Amino acid sequence: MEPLSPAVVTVLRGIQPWVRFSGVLLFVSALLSLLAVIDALLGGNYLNTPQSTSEELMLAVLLGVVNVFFECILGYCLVAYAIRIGHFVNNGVAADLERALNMHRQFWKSSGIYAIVFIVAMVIMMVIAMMLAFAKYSGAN
Amino acid sequence: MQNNYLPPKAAVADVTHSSGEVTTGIIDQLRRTKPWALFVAILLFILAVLLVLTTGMVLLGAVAMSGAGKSAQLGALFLGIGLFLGVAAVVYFLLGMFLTKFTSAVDRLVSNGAEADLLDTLVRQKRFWVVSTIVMLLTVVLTLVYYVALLTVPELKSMLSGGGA
Repeated sequence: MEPLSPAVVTVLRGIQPWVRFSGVLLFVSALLSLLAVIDALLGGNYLNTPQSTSEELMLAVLLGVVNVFFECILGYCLVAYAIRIGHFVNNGVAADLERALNMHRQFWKSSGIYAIVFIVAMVIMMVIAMMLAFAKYSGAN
Repeated sequence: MQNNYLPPKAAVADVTHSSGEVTTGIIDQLRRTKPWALFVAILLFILAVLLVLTTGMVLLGAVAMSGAGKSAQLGALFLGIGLFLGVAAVVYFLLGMFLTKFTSAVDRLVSNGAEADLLDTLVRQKRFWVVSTIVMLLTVVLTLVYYVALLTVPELKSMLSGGGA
């Protein structure tokens, strides 16, 4: 089987630094999200995290932790994709490109799952917030 | 001597075409990536539409508040927020468009299996990564600036908390 043309290698060599940098930025973003979660647990004194009831705080912290978890997974997928692109660029073996594209697929699959989890969590939080508000209103009357 | 126990061969082309250079493994990985990428692209388009609607409401608020005194300051703030949201809507729409074009290129690759289609797929992928990396960088930098400002400028925290303490 003939190897892939130099044009494919050139484009992938162009993709690699952007993907690697995106992966690093996702890890940085995860760290910033973690700082916000810690600040919320400490009472919001340092980063002006909004004060709220204990139930809302618990939900917000849970969402924050899930956010950190997924950002780390996405960052790992992108950095691994960039490393595997490097292997293909150096060796030119189609199997290396398959492995790189496998990690690229894992990134999009994880992004899709993260989006679904986030949307479901937002809907659940809205329903709980409405129920809490209704309970307060009923209690006041 | 003919072997009568061999399985029959179908006289149709293989479903997954592949040329000598582009392996079926490569095509298969991209084919399995496509639904997830398309799903995220649709979410980006929905987000862009929501941001456009929000921008419209914020700009209406800015117009309503235009006048003298404190209202004018609030109106200017709303205008700034509206413009920012408008730019964000355009960016999310662009990202959704790049992803959709990537998935279209994957469809052509799966149909033809040609190296030119693989190249097209990778070029469209690269466009997406360039824009998304720049957007991510701006978001992280703005968040860092915000955190540093909160930690070093006490007046800012009290202003954001509604003038308390």
